[in-house]
Amino acid sequence: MYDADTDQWSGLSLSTARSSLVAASVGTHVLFAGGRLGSSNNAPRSDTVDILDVSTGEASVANLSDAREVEAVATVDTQVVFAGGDRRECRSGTHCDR
Amino acid sequence: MTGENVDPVRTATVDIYDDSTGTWTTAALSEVRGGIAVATVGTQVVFAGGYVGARLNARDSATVDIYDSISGMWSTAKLSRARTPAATITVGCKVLFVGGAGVSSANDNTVDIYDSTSGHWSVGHLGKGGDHLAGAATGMNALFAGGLVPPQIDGRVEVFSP
Repeated sequence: MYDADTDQWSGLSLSTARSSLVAASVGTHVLFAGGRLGSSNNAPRSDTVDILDVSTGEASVANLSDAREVEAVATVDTQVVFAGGDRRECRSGTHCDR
Repeated sequence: MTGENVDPVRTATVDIYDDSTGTWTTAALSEVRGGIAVATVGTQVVFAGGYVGARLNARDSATVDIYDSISGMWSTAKLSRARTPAATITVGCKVLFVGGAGVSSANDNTVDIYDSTSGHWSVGHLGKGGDHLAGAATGMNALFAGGLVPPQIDGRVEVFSP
């Protein structure tokens, strides 16, 4: 929640708790994208993007096309690029990634 | 790295958010890889190097993907040497991909220089080792400090002019 009178934030939270997410800002927005829905390496990945408008305090949610822990993120002009990442992990040598 | 003997299942998917319209589009990297070095320069984003494959049989990648935010077009290039760059610095209209290490090479002082205005690539070398160092742009130069040249750690600071 954002109080414009006092310029104070309170009670902010992601729409879904997660770790290993990435963040980027563009214009008045801050985006938090993807990540892991658990504490282990092979926890399910998230496709959630939480978008916070820091000028209004409004939060919205979007989705990555592919649930993942994003590999590389960059802001360029008015755009944010979320590139690559991993969908899950699997035991080495089991070829479950093939 | 953890003690768990697991490998990530990677994806080439790219999602692009345009704040001016609130719309999303998708694209794909030309090669699925981890350890990618990324830099924004002018209207472009450059994704360089990394490694391909599972941990037990990974190989280094020289692949570069370049996204132009104005045209929405993607192009590819190659680093002079396959690796995961240790530092990525934007200096004016140029990006420096510095040093790094790979699966098959320990230390590397190579600097790949991308000029975003001409699209031209050139190669330089640091006088010092290029692994586990830190770099920052200052005006039209870059400063590189520290690093690791096994088994020594490095206290030198080098000025690099692209």
